[in-house]
Amino acid sequence: MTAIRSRARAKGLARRYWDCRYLVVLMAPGMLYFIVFKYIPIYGLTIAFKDYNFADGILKSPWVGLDVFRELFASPSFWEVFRNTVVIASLTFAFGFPAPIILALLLNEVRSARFKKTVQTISYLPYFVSWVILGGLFLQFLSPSSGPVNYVIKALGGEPIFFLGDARWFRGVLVATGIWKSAGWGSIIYLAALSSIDSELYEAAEIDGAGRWAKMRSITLPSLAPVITIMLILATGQLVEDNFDQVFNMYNVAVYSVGDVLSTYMYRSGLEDMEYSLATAMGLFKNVLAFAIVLLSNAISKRINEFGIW
Amino acid sequence: MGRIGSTRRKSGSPDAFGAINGAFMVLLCACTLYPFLFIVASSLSSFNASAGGLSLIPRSFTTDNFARVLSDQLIYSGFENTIVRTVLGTGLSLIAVFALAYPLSKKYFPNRGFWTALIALTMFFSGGLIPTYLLVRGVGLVDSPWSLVLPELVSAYNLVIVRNYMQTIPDSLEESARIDGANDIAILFRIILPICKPIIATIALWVAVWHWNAWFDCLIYITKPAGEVLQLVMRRIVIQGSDQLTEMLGRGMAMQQDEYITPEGLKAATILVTTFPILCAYPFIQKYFVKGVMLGSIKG
Amino acid sequence: MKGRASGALAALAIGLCMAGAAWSQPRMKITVANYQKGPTDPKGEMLKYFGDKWGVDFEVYNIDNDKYHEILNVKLAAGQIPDFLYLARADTLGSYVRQGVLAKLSPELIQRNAPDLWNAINAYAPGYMDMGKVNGIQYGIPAVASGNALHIPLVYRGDWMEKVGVAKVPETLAEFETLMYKFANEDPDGNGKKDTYGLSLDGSNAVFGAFGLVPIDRTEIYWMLQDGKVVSHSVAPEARQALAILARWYKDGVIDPEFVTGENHGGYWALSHAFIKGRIGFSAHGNYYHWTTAGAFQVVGKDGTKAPCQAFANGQEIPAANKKARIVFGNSLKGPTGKQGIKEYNRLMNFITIGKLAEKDPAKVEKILQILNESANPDWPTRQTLQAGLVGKYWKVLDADMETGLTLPPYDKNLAYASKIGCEMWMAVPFPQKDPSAQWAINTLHYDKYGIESLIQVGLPKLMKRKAELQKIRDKYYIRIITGALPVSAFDEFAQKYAAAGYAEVQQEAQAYYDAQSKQG
Repeated sequence: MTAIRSRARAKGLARRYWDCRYLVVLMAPGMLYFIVFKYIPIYGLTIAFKDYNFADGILKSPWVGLDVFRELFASPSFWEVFRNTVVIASLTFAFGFPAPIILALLLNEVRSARFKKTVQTISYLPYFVSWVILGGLFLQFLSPSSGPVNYVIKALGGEPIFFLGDARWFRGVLVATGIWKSAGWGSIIYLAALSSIDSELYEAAEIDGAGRWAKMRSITLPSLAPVITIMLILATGQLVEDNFDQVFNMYNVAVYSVGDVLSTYMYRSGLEDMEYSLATAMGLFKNVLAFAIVLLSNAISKRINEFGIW
Repeated sequence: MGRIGSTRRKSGSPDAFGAINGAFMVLLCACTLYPFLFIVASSLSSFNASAGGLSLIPRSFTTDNFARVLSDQLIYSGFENTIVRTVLGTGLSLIAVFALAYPLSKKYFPNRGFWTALIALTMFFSGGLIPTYLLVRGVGLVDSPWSLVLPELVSAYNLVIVRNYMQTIPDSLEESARIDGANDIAILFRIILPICKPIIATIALWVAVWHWNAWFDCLIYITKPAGEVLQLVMRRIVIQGSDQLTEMLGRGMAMQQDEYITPEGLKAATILVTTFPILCAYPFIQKYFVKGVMLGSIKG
Repeated sequence: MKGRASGALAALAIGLCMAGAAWSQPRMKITVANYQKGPTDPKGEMLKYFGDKWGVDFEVYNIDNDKYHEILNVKLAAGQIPDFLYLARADTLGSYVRQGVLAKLSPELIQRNAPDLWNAINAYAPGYMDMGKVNGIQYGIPAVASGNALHIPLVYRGDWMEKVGVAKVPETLAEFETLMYKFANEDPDGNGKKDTYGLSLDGSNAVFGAFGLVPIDRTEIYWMLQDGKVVSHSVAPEARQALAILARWYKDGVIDPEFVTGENHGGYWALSHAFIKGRIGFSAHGNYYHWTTAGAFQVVGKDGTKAPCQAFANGQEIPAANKKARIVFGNSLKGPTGKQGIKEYNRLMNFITIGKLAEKDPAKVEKILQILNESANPDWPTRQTLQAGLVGKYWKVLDADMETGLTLPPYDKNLAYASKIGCEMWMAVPFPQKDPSAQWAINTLHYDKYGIESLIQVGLPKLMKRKAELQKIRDKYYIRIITGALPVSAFDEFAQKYAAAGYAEVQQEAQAYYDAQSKQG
């Protein structure tokens, strides 16, 4: 009975694939790519459960179970740097995610096409400047004695703030400079989405007497909703990631307690280069978490607006 | 900047929001333009610009930094290799992404969830550097430009975004073509891709910039000097520049400092030389954001 | 008949000879991974030259020096183990031995095949050869930096000293303290504002050095012997005294309050921006040659005659920023307990090892050692040829006594030319430096005296695992004690935390290593 039914189902499935054979043809090379270049090497993840050495190779190195993870979690600084990573990533998410959307919306309100293009082009310039250079620049900009930012604060009657040397301010600096660097670049995807909104919709709304705000609420934002949703879900996957280049070029010993993150700690320990098992275990730990978070946010999104990654 | 370019504004009242918005944009430009101008100043300075504070005026003007950067023979082959990988990588990546995204955007595609998940999983789990190198070496791609294109051909991240964009296109658009007997591939090219112009431009920009800036894969997969990409050549000029004099002292070579080259100025010059071409490409892509084909025009 | 036979014989003989030439000398193939300034061209002239010289076919692996271990490891994982194998980070030796990729050597083997090298290292860097041993077996030949036998610089603003009426460069910590307080309080820049300080982060090394310590290196833990016990400088009791002084200075506004962000503000690492911009009057940043002012000493000019040296780094930036500014070099300070010294960098730089695959072929191991021996050739131009290519084509000798040469055009424009043509079969040997700059540092500045070096410079396994943790705890407490967030008495708490974070076991490991080494020696 069941055999017949499953065979019928199999036949049904084959039939369904045959029905969209052109789509299968389109998809096949891409899927082959994923299998060859992404799934064949995936056995490398076993390094996290092995005492890896070059002489034996990945396959023949001895299994050690969860020992590597135990070692990782037992390291006294691990949880501190992991917490810093998550806190900084969460702040970056909370403030950094809306920034490019707001920028795109504001740019959209600019009427002169040439001015709009110019602003757009300039706003993405910082994306191309490396943190090595920016680290030195911010150090001077934010200096409590000679930096222009504190000059303004002093002129307004405030006390100078040691932004990079004060643990209370350091995370804020990371978030703010991160936004400054990437908001322009990040707004590109939203500008692309904005450009595909039907201009007739705006015209119709204007005839109805809708103001700027009403148009944004009733036309612009709903049109952006799908792309915002997907970007939001993808961004939640970054909640366990840190930006090594940024932190490394801006932190110092005085802000270790709030600014030392997983990648900088691993770098200072020199283990990343030499201890593959430990580095792989850490990567796996982060990625499993990221995966779980994305699954969750995807599920929530699907419940709210029937939209998700899968 | 409250210049009113559009004819649609009915009232002649001053546009307060537009003025504030414009002012904000100008401020934004000033903030973001500054580091770039600082780099330009550094590249033209014969002293370390940072030692002169935050000034945007070069400290004692020189073009020696650029002369040194452009004197390295490898940067010409580097430019060529970078252009090859960027064009090849972006072109193939676009084809692959859109060919994958279209079937996966169709609700009726069998096991759609499974196939999507299979791809999305690679955003989180990968085998790492060593098995990937073994694979690339195993299929004989070492020292071939394909080793810079194939291993990262399709980004699952881009794929998800494109598929999502395609899902927002109403099915009704395809129906008339289907009645005319067009197959899925024809529909993709005739109907879907024209609508997708803005997202094609976005993904193309992302992939092209990624390829333009990538160098680590080249360190691993390319072993011959002639195959090096631009960023790698530039990176080396910078590293050499930082320790050239200490090196000379260590090697017992007389110091020959006729040119005024500072490590910082050298670095600034390399950044400008490498970023300039990709910055020039932006305006061409930008027009697709502004003049993206409107959904409505097709609907109507 | 006879003629024909002899002709045939002759033809046969020639044929055999030709075949013999092809058969009897299949050249040995040696793969090389060494420090590179740039990639090597497989057709490089010197690659062929050295190949012919030693009867070997060389194949150089192009591995970028900046990401050396990361890329080397990928190759090793694929079974591509170079025969001539350079380890850029000396502390990785133990790890590679455990990974099973290095060939076993022995002192006898090195002594027999590379006698000049063996003698040079033992003569100019006694004890360093043993650092190439792991668990008693020799695996690595140490590359020792003779330049690091010169300690870090102590530089003062001479014009400021004049302004505050101090003529003598400080020799003791007490004199140093007086000057630092004057720099902070007596408006040495004469602008009427209280905006100058004595010292910043790197300058604190002068204070620690007066107690015989180097407790704040960014990456290394410095070890010393106290009553037969191996101790980390960071927890030595004297460190507490030094911290008490620094805390007092910080409170009194002598130390730049922005010292945690360092003296360098981006750009070239060796610049002390705080010093250049006239914020501090003393620094110990970079190396002595980063403070070279124009004409400080005589060098060999391009035409082979004496010429004044050119300014470099800070020495170049300071006069450009302020015409009145003058650099005065000082020496390490005598402390209250009678100790004197200042940090010098570890002299152990890296190792040359031989890959495991070569172990099966003893002739190859011997050949590599013989090649390495050339790096210690007493004749300087011969040695230099290994690194710079053929004399006359790529470079010329300017002054053999001062070991100064001149790279010939067009190669002088491309610093990576030597790697490109295949000058990859050499290692650094600690011969005494004869170049004018080092001579100046030794004879005029006396920077070869009172340098403090670490007792243990190799990467022991437990140390490697715990180092980052220990440094982090150290930084946390040191900063808080100096800035007054914690009292000096918190040093005891620090010592406990330090021990708990792994110092206890790391110390045992270091002690065991030291005891074993000293028993052997």
